[in-house]
Order: sequence, then structure tokens, then C-alpha cells
Amino acid sequence: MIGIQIGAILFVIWMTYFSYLHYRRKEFGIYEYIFWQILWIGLVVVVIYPHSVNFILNAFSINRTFDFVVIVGIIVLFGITFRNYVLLRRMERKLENFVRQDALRDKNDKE
Amino acid sequence: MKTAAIIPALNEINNIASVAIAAGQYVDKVIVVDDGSAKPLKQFLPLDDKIICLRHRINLGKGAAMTTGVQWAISNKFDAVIFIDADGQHHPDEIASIFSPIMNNDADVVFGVRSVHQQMPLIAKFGKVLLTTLVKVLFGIKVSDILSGYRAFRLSVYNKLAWESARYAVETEMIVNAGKNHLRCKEIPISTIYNDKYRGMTILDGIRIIFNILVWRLR
Repeated sequence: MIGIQIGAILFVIWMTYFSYLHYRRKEFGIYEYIFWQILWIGLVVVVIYPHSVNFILNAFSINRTFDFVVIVGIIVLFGITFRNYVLLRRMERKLENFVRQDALRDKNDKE
Repeated sequence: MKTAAIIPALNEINNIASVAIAAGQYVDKVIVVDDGSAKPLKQFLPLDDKIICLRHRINLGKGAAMTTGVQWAISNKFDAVIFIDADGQHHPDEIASIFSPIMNNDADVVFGVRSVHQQMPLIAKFGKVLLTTLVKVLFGIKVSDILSGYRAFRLSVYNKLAWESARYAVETEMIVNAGKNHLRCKEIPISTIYNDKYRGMTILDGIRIIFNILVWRLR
């Protein structure tokens, strides 16, 4: 087993623990918790058994498992970035409405 | 016609009282929207029934402050509003001339247009020409001074004019919306006092506005 695999396994163990921690603090729902655990388990399987994804590599003409992991990582990052953007915009709108209603209500209460 | 002046303000502790008092001579109500100033602006305003202060607990931006003022005016059955900058760069005695096309039913929206003079910073002159040309080319709307904050409109057309921009793109978005909805627009020349600052708007805001104009064209 090479160093990068050991590093990846330690990272997965760390993230698995963090996912559990968030679930225990009720910051994650059960479905979110399962989603993240499946993601980490999938990653550790690919790291320990790189040839387990050979059928995908052949299908998409990807040479190395490492390239496959990087490509999937980038796709996931784009997805998360997009979701974060949408959530941020939604939060901005809610905050703006809340502050505005607070200003208007404050004035009306005093009149 | 029941009129109100809306003054979006952020930390304008030196000018806000004089601007509000002067504006109050020409309208039925002055609405100061304190957009999260470090010191609440209410304490710098005179006790006057004509002047009210709405305070955002956090800074939301000029466009959002303008929306808050408009919503208050609508809920209190006003007919028309005028926006004035809080830094004292607009002469309140020009309020009547800006309102007159609305009073005479000649226009729905009136834009105050600044003349280019020597005191105007070079970057502001450049921004003015660039944005005016871009809007004219992309939307076919000719407003000589897109960035001027001195403008009035009839509240009955607010639904067609309503902006989403929370910050400095609001002025440009209003013009774009007015053009798209074929509102009757007029321009009135105004004089502008350039004080110690040109601090309101940055080059970055200008770049954002250009980006927004392109997005609005595609919308």
C-alpha cells in the first residue's frame, strides 16, 4: 500500500467520524448521514481496491483510477458549489425580507 | 398628490439632518432609511412629524434601503416618491421641478440628470459615458445620466419598475425596467454638489453594474 492510499484512508476515517458527529448533534438528518457515509465508504473501497472501478475506467476511456477519483471529485465540488450558491442566495433574500419587515414593524409599533 | 422623499443613508451623520429638513419643505413626508449605520441615524434627526426613520439592523445595500422606503410609502398610501442621496450632493429645492412632470401626468418616471462639470471625477465621467452607451445599445433607452440617484416615480407603476438589485446596480436596473415596460420617462437637468467624497461607489461596483446589464439583456 502506498503513502497516498494510507493518507486517503486516514482522511476517510476522519470524515466518517465528523459525519457521525454532525449526525449525533442533529445537524444532519438520517438521509444526509447515510449519503455522506456511502460517499466515504465508496471512496475507501476505491482507494483500497483501485481495480474495482476498472469497468468504469474502460467505459469512459480513463487510464488511471487516480484520474477517475479526481474527475469525480471535481464534479462533486461543482455540484456542492452550485448548491451553496443557491442556498446563499436564498438566505440573502430571507435575511433582506426579515430586516425590512423588522424596520417597518418597528416603525409601525412606535406610531 | 401625496408625495414622499426617500433618503437611503449609511453613516451620514453630518449631512442627514440638513438634507432631511430641506427635503421636508417640498414633500409631505421624508423617509430616512438608515441602512445599518454604526450609530443609529435617528439620534441625528430632528423631532419632526414630517420626518421618519426606518432602521435596518444590518447593512443591506442602497437598493434594499430604497425598497424599504417604497414599501413604507405604499403601505401609507402615498402617490409618488423621490429618491435623494443622503450625502447632500442633491439640491432639495429641485424636488418640485423633478416632480412636476408626474404632477402634470406627463411622465411616470423622472430622472435627474447631472451636467458634466470640472469637479466631477474623471472616473465618474468615464463611467457615466460607458454605462449610458451600453444601456442605449442594449436596450434602446436613452437616459443621459444612468448613475444619478435623484429620481422620482409614480407609485402606481412600482410593480413594473421594481428592482432586485440590493446594491448600486439599482439605478441602472430601474432604467432597464422602465424601458422594458415602456413607462413614460422624462429627464430633468439637476445641479450637483460634489463634496469631500466620491466614496459612495467604487470601480468594482461599476464593473458589477456592467456585468448586470449584460445579464439583464439575456433575461
